[in-house]
Amino acid sequence: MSADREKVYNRIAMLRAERGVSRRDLAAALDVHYQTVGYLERGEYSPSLHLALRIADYFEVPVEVVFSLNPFPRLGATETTNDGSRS
Amino acid sequence: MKPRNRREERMLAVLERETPRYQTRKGRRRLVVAAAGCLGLMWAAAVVCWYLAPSTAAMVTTFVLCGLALVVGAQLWGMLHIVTRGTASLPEHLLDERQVRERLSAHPIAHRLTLLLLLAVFLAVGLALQEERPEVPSAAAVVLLFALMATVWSLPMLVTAWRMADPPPEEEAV
Repeated sequence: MSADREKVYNRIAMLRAERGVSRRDLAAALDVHYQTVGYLERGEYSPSLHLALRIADYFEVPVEVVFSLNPFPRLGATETTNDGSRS
Repeated sequence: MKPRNRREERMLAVLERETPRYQTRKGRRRLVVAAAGCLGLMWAAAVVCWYLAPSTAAMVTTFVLCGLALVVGAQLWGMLHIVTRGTASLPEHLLDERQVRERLSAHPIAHRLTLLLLLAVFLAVGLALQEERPEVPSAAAVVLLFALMATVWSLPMLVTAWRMADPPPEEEAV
């Protein structure tokens, strides 16, 4: 399988910045190397289900808020429905 | 990733040292090439022993080449430990899942390279034995064995260092 097909998008960097958590603090809380957090944020490493659940648990959000198989919409981006209204 | 004793704590502390020159993929690969060069010196010593031993020239050349390989190689080995953050060398309980995965993906490649190396040595020794020589010097066999062992031992580390991606840049304080 190609790496593209296995790509998992995440919002770790955004959540981390929002909560004011450093990479090293997050790594210490998750018991991983701090570089692993960087690789996760850059999308160069897809975590195991266990690590993904622990990350979601750390930020106290559902796992689908942090991870997705499709790119997350950019902040401020809105989708327009067929009838012209914004969602 | 919890160290179980002071020795492991010290090992982890050493591995956190920053070596900006060699943190990038290019820098790491330069270290790998230099380490491969050190191993090459040991192989060169084996060839010298094969053709010149027993003689003073062979002995001096072997000691100089192997000594150089050991001294420079030990420095490079330490640097490779640091730039790979111990991925290829630390006990598994000191690694996280990404590092374990990196180590596991490097081992099959190192294994294939070992097989190729053994085949190449087998062919080279077979060809060399066809030449008219009364006997193979025992020094050559010993140095060849050491060169082979050092190479096989080093391959997982070299493959890991060669393949690792550039580490993420250090962030500014949050």
